Amino acid sequence: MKGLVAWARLSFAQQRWEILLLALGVAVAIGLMLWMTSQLLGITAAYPECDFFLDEDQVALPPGCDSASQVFFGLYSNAEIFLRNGWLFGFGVGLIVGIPLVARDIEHGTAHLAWTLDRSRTRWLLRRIAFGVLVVAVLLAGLAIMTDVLGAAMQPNDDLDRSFHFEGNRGVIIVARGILALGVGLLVGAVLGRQLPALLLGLIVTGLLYAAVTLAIGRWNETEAVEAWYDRDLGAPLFVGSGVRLASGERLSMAEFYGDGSEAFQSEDGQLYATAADADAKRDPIGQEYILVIPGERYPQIMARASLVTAGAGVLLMIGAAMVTSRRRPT
Amino acid sequence: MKEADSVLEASALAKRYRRGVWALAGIDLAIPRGGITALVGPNAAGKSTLIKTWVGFEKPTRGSVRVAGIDPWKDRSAALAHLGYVPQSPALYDGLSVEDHLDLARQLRPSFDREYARNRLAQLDIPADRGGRDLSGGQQAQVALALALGTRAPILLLDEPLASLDPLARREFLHVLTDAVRGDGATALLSSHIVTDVEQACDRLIVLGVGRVLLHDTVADAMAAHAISSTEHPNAVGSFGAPDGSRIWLVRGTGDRPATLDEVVLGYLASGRTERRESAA
Repeated sequence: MKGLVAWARLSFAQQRWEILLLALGVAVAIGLMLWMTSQLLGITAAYPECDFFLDEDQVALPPGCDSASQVFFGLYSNAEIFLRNGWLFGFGVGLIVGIPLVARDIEHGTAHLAWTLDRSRTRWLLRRIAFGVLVVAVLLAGLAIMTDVLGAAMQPNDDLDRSFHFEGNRGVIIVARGILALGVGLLVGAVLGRQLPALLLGLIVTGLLYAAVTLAIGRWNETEAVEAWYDRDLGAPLFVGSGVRLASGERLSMAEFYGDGSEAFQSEDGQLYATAADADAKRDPIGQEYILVIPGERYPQIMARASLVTAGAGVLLMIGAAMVTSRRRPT
Repeated sequence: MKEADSVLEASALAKRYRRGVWALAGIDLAIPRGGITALVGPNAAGKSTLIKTWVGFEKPTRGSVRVAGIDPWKDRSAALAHLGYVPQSPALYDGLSVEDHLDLARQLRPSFDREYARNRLAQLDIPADRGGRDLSGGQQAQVALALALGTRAPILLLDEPLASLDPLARREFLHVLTDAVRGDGATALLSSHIVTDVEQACDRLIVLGVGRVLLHDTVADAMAAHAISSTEHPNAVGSFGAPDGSRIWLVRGTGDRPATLDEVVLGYLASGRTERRESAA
């Protein structure tokens, strides 16, 4: 235990400035989110009779709700901007912590010292990684929790554990992105051995890799999506795609169906008809438009999987970094 | 060349870098246990490459090296157990104090003798709470040496640690090194291009030029076996300019006067240059 504390202290001392800077940034972000949350909860509590999400064209709101609604949605807009861009924190923290773990030792020449004092470079790197993961997890865990709290304040009518509202912008996925970026920073830093070029390349690689991971997760989700239509209450599901099922049973994408200039008349339940008269009479449908969704109740499972895939990609990159580090020159 | 009691060996060692330059071109060496061996040569002679090959930082293109009988590229961990290393520029961690460096060394190598290293630094009045980068060049070199000595490794490899030090700092460094090596019965290989320092501290001399070993002998024998001639001589090793502008020849055997160690080294370096010109022609 004493050894672990000493190792953590020495590891922190080697990266104290970037860690303190990141901690300050995260603390400010958490502070802002706390303030927004309190404002949103305050206005919701002050007007319990107002449901801000009801369609005011259809339902008459009690007096005072109109102005309260304006205040609520003003706050909501600001919080949404913050929440939708908060994903950058995960990548930023991961890269800034990950790049120096190996690259700084190579750039400053201290790799000569470390790699001869420790008889195993892999063990040395594992300890460095463990410290990096700890820092990323601690810094981003606060953000992950706070984004969930803010999201819940923005959607007071929803159970966000069963809802894809703000999917990808809240919760544990933020930590997973940090792990992915940490892996990128570590590997790119180990290959280049220079921090600034590694940061620039790391940004590009992280962007490309995240796009690839997102695409892969999207494809996986498609295989588990169910057909639905807007005529029933979908809650807050994850929209995965849409298409047309012809009367023959054949499925076409929207582009395939409408791409050849086909025209169709649609009823409220999504049925497609060749003519307006058929649509009015609900006669001889030529197909059914549908959307592919994953129901909101599967949110915990889907996000856990996405987080594992994202963090897993980061772990693979760390293994790659270990292979590079064990063979490369210290300069 | 391989001897039973050699702790550092190189056999037909050649190293070519990616850009096609041969840093080492067939080195055969066996450095015996004990004492300090100087590795002398001009810039780009291959001194650092040779040391880094023993440390396991460079993979031989051809041939092999051994540290206490272990190939460091095949079993780096076992080879490093026998090694203490002082790099060319004694880079220390920005954010760590001297004491932190000793703690870090203990973390990295559990057998690191922190008290031994601490005492060595205390004798030199190096403040333990000072940041690594806040120390003078000489103090940084001393910290790097203390970190290497603290490993209590039987073999020390020092890659031009004197290059950036002033004469007084060099003298102190060599004093500490000599004291430690003699006291512990260790073996040290000190790479340098400052021959006067080598003469004071070292028992053996290796002159490296153009990637080859030009001379390997004890300092005493090297000086006893060579002389200076002011005229061309059949036993001449090489010729070079004297400080007064005249040309002098280093010869094996007797000459006009005894050779200094500096002249022995210069004569062999000149011979290496001549060989290179001839092979190029």
